[in-house]
Amino acid sequence: MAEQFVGKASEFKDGDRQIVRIGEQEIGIFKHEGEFYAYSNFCLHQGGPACEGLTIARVEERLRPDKTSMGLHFTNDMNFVCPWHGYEYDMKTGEHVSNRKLKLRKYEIVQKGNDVYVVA
Amino acid sequence: MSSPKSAKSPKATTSAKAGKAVVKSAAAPRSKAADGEVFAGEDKVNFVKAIWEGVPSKEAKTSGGSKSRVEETKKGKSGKDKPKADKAKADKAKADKAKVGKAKSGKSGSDAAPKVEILRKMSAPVRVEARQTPESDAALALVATLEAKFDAGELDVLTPEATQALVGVICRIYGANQESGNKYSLLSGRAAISGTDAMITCSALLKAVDLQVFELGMWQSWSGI
Ligand code: FES
Repeated sequence: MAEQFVGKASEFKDGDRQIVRIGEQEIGIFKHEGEFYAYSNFCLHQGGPACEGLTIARVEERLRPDKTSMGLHFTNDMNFVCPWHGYEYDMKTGEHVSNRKLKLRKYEIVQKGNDVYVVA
Repeated sequence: MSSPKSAKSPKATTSAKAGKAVVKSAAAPRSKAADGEVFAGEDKVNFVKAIWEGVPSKEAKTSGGSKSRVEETKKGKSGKDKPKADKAKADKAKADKAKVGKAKSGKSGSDAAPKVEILRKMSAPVRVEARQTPESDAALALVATLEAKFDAGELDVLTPEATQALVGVICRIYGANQESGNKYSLLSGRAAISGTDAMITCSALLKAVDLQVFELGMWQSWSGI
């Protein structure tokens, strides 16, 4: 595992992402709310490009105490969606949102000044 | 591993030549799948990668997870015909070399640091400040009138021509805004229209421009929209 330079922090706006290949690994690098996140671009479902689909706020169904629905609402948490069949992953952890046991491989990001490195 | 191999392929067992060892190890997982065992996630990833990138060279053929796939490929390059124990030793030696310092751009190439290749850059969606225009005010006033009449039971409040003209211009304005990066939801809330209304309208729109649902699905998966 070595630090691999992937770009300048100043080149990433919030919400930008970049897909890189390092050796045989394909990695999606996201900038979200000022933080960098990097995950394997191979979807846990059927190997689709997990990091290349929509990014979308998590949808929650709010319930009354008697468990009847108050409707669907967007939360402040962000997910990214595999474009092949819609597996939804948590931006901050890489976990599948409805089955937290499924988790994309997460890569460490190291920032040195303006340089961004992925540990891969 | 040795018994299924010998039972499987008489060809492979008759020769102790280097290449045959690779053939044998590749045959084992295939036979598992044929026996109806679970087609594991890692194998699916290998399968999809093979479709995307082509089948790897003989020595790179392995059936591990993404990490082990990289390691196995490296093993294959240096000692494909050695027994497993020898391979493990060779790997350990390689790892030690790597610790000392990134090898002097090794002859095999497997010691060199992997190259970073930027495949795609994807920009954040552009946010455009909403501008209040007189046309928007007029449209909102028209909508209020239409809704009031429709709620009062006037189904024919709009002629088919007027409906077509309105839907057409809304589609063009909405599509152009989405494509230019000014993305917003088509409806203000989930309850604005019913699911049935949405399905009827979507079906009619697709039909009007002679598109099939599977074409829509393919386009969605390619465009990520
Ligand atoms: S491959 Fe990602 S959801 Fe199916």
